[in-house]
Amino acid sequence: MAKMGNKLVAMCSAAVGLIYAGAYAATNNQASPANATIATNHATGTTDNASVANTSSSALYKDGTYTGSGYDRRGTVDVAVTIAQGKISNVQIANYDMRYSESYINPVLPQEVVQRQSDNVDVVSGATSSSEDFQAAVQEALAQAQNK
Amino acid sequence: MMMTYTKSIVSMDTIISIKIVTSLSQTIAEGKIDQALSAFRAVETICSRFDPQSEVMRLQNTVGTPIPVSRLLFEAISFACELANFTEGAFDPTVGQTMEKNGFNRNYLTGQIIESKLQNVSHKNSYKDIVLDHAHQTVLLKKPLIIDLGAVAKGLAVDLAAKELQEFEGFAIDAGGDLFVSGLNHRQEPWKIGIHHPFEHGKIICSLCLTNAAVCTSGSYERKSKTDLSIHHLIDPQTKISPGDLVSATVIAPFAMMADAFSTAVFIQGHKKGLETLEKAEVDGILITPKLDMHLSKHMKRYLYE
Repeated sequence: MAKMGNKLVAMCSAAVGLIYAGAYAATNNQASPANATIATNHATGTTDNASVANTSSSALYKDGTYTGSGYDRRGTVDVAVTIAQGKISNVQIANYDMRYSESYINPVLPQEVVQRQSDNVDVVSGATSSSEDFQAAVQEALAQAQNK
Repeated sequence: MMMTYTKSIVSMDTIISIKIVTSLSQTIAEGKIDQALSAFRAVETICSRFDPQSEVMRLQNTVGTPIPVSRLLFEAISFACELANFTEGAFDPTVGQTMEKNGFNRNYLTGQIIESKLQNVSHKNSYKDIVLDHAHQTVLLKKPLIIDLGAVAKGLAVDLAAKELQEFEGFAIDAGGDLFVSGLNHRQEPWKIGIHHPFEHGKIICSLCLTNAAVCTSGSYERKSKTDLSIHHLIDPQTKISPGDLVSATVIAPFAMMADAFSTAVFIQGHKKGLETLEKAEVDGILITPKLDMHLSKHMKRYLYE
């Protein structure tokens, strides 16, 4: 039984190694139209979209980077949404502090500065928090990106 | 001189943050952070259950034929099935259809609701309906089914991101609470990790001190079904209901894909069977009940701090 743990570690190690050595590519096997094959070359950090499914006139969003702000329990949140080939390719957040996660302010007493236990740690592990708090900011950025 | 560089994005319906501690240049650090973050987008494109065009979602109705898949998808499904086998089905990636029915079906960026149309719906799907051919890198489904890689994909993305950051003196990857830490923090000490209190927002229930390991937590307190409040996103594949023995399960392992999958599996199993599983797998963890009883695995104490 002592071998089982090692077997799983070896599996992870091999899996990660093999994926990392190739490109993180999705294969396009089903006979369905307008499927894009996306290959990411991790060595150079470039992204090639082998088939262009969106033309600028039919895309929902215009290519570019758009900013948006929102307010949540933390205060102000700022995002920068990047559109590439008509689709959302990146959503970056400014000023996020990984010590706290996004829900640390007591909603009942927002003005009070509370000595939080989180101040003594570098990072917090918890059940996956959702990105809901950033939705307003993302929507504001997307509103600017809309193809009118 | 050691400097710290941080960047955060929204991906996989959560916040992904990467922090690097290094004496290497800002250009190098920021470039590598970007490369590491791209792993999350790549994994999401292939493994997302909320995008009908993702590679995993395109598998669902092709039955009886071996389908060639990307290395990434093959390894993710392979590991998920291995865990299912190890836990005798307590963990099972074929719960995708149940999750959709319970309302976990909304794309967090586009807002689109996903409504898969499975042919010949069967209620007895299991991981045994997936046949993997390692030599040809193919997946064969014996029945139409939706594979949910939620417990494996994020961990895998963290591990791929970590590979990009090997040259730095210290780094921390935080994928919505699934972590990997390496080297030393900015105070030149092993990383201090808090575990989220299951009930009190912003508070931590205990602290760990460690490095060169993944720490992943599964919990029922963040994502609840909007269609049925007694259900949260962790589902027992056999009973199809959300188990209530635990409210949080944290696992420490050498890889995040392993810690991620095990935290889900032991959460579903409950604290008794969960502790047995951790011991069998030789990983450590903390299992917390709704009454906040904390069950520690054999060697967990060595990681506790304060």
